[in-house]
Amino acid sequence: MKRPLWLVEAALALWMGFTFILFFLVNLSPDGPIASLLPEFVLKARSFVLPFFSAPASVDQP
Amino acid sequence: MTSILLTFGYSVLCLALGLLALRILSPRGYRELVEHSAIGIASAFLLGTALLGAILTGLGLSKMLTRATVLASLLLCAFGLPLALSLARRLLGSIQQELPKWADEPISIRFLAGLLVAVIAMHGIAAYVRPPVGDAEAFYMVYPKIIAATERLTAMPGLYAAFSSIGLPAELHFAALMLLADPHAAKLFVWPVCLSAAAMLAGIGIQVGLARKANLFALVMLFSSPTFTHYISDGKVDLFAAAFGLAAFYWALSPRLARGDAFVIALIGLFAGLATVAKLSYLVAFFPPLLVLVAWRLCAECDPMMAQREKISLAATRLMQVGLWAALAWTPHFVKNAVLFSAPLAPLWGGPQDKSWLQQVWFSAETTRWIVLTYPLALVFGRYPMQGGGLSFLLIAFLPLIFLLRPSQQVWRSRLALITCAGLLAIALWVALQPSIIAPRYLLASLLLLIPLIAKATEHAWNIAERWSLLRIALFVSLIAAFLIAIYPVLPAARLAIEFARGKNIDPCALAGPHCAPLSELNREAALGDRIFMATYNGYWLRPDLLQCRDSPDDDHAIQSSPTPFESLHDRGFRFVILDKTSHRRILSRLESSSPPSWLSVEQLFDSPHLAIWRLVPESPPRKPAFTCRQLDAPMWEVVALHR
Repeated sequence: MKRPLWLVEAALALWMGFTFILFFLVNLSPDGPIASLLPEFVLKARSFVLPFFSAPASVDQP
Repeated sequence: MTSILLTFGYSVLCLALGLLALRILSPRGYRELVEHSAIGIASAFLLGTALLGAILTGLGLSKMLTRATVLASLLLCAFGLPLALSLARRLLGSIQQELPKWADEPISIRFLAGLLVAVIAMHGIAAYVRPPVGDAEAFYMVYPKIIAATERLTAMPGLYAAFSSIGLPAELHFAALMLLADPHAAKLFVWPVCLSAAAMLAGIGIQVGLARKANLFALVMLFSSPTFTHYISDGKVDLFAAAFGLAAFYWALSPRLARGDAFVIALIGLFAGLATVAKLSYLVAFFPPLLVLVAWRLCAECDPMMAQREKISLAATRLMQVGLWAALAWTPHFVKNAVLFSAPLAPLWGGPQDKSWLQQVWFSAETTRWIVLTYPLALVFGRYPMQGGGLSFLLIAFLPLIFLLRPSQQVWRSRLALITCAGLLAIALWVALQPSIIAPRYLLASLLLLIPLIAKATEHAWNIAERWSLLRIALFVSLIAAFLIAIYPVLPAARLAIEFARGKNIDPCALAGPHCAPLSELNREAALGDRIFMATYNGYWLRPDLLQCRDSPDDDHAIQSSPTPFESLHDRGFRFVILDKTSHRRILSRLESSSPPSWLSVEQLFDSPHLAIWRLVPESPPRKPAFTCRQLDAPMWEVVALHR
């Protein structure tokens, strides 16, 4: 089997890193113990990405 | 410790009953089933769970769900124990055969496999230790508590009376385990169900040609999906539907289906029925893709000499058989709803008037449009209210790896392509019919069908990448990161378990939600049969008698529409009021804006940003309450009208 080009490998590795960071940010609790250890810009990044994947509900909990 | 052993024994007896039933259903099919011991155990356990659930439903409806009758039912299951022991021996033999093969794998793969076992064990600990949270505090663990206390199955008193018309795949087991042991034992029962779901996913992987490594990656993806792991330990029952659904898909991929094997068709139908009754949303996004999958396989893999019309007619007959077996799996539900609501087909047809939960719209049109546009990312990264977690980020991270796969020459006949299409069809149906509801748990079994293709691509990428190449390192780091994400939420439960093992006194409300401490305090304040007006969803921590004497929808209506709500509370016999300040703001402001009459003093027992609890103390009231709560048919408590 042929190994993919190094450029393809690098692009895939970057994509994996990006998805992990995105997942980490959207799941990061701003009041949790991890958030207190992180620099301010991480929380700012979280505030930036969260609106893409969250919105207030228009109903009460069923 | 006793309750852990009890849940283990209970699960083994479910397995025994399932094996017994399968052997009676088809001795030949049974012999073939036990050849794959893990799949055999998972299938039989799930079927046994459903059968024992049906027996317990019958006992509950007959008002005979006592510790003695539960033990008698388990004794009946014990007839299948020799079969279970023989299958367990076979499983141990398979594990002994399999382990040396893992020794040939690189250390990174062995490390991942070890980590997977540790993560699964930690989720088991969390299932036992963690108290119920969220919806489980509102319904899924509260209803069993009432069933166990009253020794019968009736509609749940209070807000969720109409909701009791849903399928009850786990609640009767929870009630039985509460009768035999405690709520921890009941919660732990979800863990073997989760293991069965994992076994079924691995079985699907084997059916579609995944090798050992790919199956390991598939299981990592499963156990790093918050929408799966969250429900192992929160006390909800969504994993029952997922496990039944995956079992149906597994049997739909069996090579024996193409031969029209009646045993396989029966299993597909039974598991499909059990999955849909356990989660009604599966009627939309699970049953149609399953039927399409079965029909496709029957048409594509039957005798090539057969005429097209014959093929279609054969597929239609088989699908009808699947439907009949599915209807059989729904029978205990029909009986339950016929007895409780005089409407066997409730909640779909007839039964309680309140069906608002069947036609839910969670978001505005604009948000719904955005959610639909962001599929499939929303399924993974979505953090919408009520979503209940998403799929593993590995599904998106490893998605581009499928372009490294060489397409199979007969791609449409490949079962891997078929199940992936079934998963995509499920998403398309869900988005088309319920676009406003973004909740992967509502179609989990179908969504998990997307895992095998990505796992296969991951294995392929792993194999073609050199040992220290960037790609191999990125794959390994991503898999480890997924594990860390999976482990993090269960760490507090593991810490609590360690403290418990060291003999420390554990606070009963440790890891519980904000309702635990105040409601436990209220249990000490309230007398037997006191009525509580609950302007909150979560009542789990209250005593069973208080849960039975709580407000009914009629009470809620009367109080909310009364110009003097405090007088109305007294007239209806309420001694306490619980107000959830986050979810019941309307009733809170209604009560806060009214003044109690001079003869009724309102004492504040508890107040926090989330919750307030008031005690109503009448001092020479002008009239006696019109309602009270009594034990007319012990051990059940009932609200009765008093003749003034």
